[in-house]
Amino acid sequence: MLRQLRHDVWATDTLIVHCRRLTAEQLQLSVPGTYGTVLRTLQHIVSSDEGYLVRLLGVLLHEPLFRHEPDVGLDIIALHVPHVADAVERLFASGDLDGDRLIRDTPARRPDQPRFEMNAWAPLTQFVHHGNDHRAQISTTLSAHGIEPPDLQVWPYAMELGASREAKEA
Amino acid sequence: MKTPLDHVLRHNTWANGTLLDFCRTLEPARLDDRAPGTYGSLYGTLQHLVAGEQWYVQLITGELIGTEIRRDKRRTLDELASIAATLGVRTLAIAASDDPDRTIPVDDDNDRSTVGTLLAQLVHHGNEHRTQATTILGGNGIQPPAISAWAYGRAVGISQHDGD
Repeated sequence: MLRQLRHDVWATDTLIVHCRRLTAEQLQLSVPGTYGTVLRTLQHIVSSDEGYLVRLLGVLLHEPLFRHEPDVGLDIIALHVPHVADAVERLFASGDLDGDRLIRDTPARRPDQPRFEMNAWAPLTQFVHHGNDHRAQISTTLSAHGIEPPDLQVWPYAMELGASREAKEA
Repeated sequence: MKTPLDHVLRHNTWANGTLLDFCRTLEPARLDDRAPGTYGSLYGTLQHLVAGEQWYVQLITGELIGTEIRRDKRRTLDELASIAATLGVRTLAIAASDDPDRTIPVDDDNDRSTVGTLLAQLVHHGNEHRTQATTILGGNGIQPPAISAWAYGRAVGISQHDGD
């Protein structure tokens, strides 16, 4: 599970690095059926990642919270990726997680928001789904506008780590 | 006790089934719908989604679940749904009993990978192509089904939260 989350963080970071080559106009591209512009979708991915991790850890990663703010710049979004990466490692620092652990609330909840209780597996599973979902939307947007998206599959990630490789036959 | 990975795989299987069930209710012509920047037609994406999982599981276990899904042979959505459901059961068994660090050959070019990498790729692949399918639906004016992990939790009665 930790590897799954590490791939997720790597994929988001790789996508952000790729998007740094885009112009301001290209960051505002979108296509029907997706979440919104490239920039807003990236912000949504990273701020949601932080939200899931705040709930799972029971502590804020930093203050103020990185909420779903419209149209922050790519530099600001990128600044939050290390917070996500660090929180993922902290989450698994004491070993494997108990997916059935009941989380009664989140420190990120606003006073006017309802309180949700949930087992730990729910935000963890949603973390993986959510990142893949919205990164795929950005890749679709880029492709639809003739821009080659980066390869965010597990294969290149595993190759980087040496967990997937060409065998040297004797 | 179910592990978080167990739920990730269960969500994957549930989301495949939910999406295929939804698409079975569409007029057949809608399966040819497309959207710019995605994999292909709605049907082609669904077929590729299940074929990919069939291949990953075969790499790990050596077992072909169902008959081989080939791009040049159109299958019914019922067939794809049946294979996808069986694959879901098999992936849970793999996660429960196999060594994630066990290395396995991937193709004829001496490429090797690990069980853990393949399971992670299976989840990534599923999420990616389901998103393309929902983009095709949304882009063609059809409200897609909710297939997030939150929706999975509600559907199987183990979570109440809704949202992003």
